[in-house]
Amino acid sequence: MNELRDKLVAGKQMARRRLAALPFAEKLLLVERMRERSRLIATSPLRRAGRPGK
Amino acid sequence: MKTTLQVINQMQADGVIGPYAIGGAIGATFYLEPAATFDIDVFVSLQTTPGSGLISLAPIYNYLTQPPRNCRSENEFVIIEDWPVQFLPPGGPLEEEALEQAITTGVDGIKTRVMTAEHLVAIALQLGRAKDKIRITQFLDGGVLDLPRLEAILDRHGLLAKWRAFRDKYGSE
Repeated sequence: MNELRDKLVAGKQMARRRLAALPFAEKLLLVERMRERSRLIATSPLRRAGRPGK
Repeated sequence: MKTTLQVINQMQADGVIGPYAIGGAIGATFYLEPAATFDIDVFVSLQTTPGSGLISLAPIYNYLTQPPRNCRSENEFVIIEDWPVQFLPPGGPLEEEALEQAITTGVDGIKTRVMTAEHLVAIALQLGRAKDKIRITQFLDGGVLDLPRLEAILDRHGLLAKWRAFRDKYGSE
């Protein structure tokens, strides 16, 4: 279990480093995309309807 | 975001603001993996109102909200090309130094200035909110800090004890 966890953590660190190494302009595009997604989620009818069973 | 930066640069060219520096999450994104954020923090030296000594954001708001720019203001933000921008005067000597020592970079040929990684960490440490602590650990994990330079900044601004306490608590190599 620890081995799997360590592997997952290492994988995440690698992904973070890969993203951090991108040019600033590319990173800003990703920030814009994340913002758009957050807006979509925030305005989703599914979200407004609340969680099932509530 | 590029157009937003162009508008801010134009404000500087038109003499509305002096040199500026991007801080906050967008500033951190220069060094780290991109993080979701809804606004841009722009640190800028502001002139005091003649005769009062008070800092006024009025010239910025007037410039942006009047024709031909017609930007909308919303609470503490001005929406420039769909991005809420918060113009912040330096809150003390640390932020003044961060503004002065910011580095010049480019976004697809558009010049802009971003605070150094060490100043972003020092400011985050000074603020001390949960999200600031997370950001500091990201900087440490990312290996992007010049630690002797950071410690010199922290020492100058009386933050070394807080830094040691942070590292004791949250650990790091």
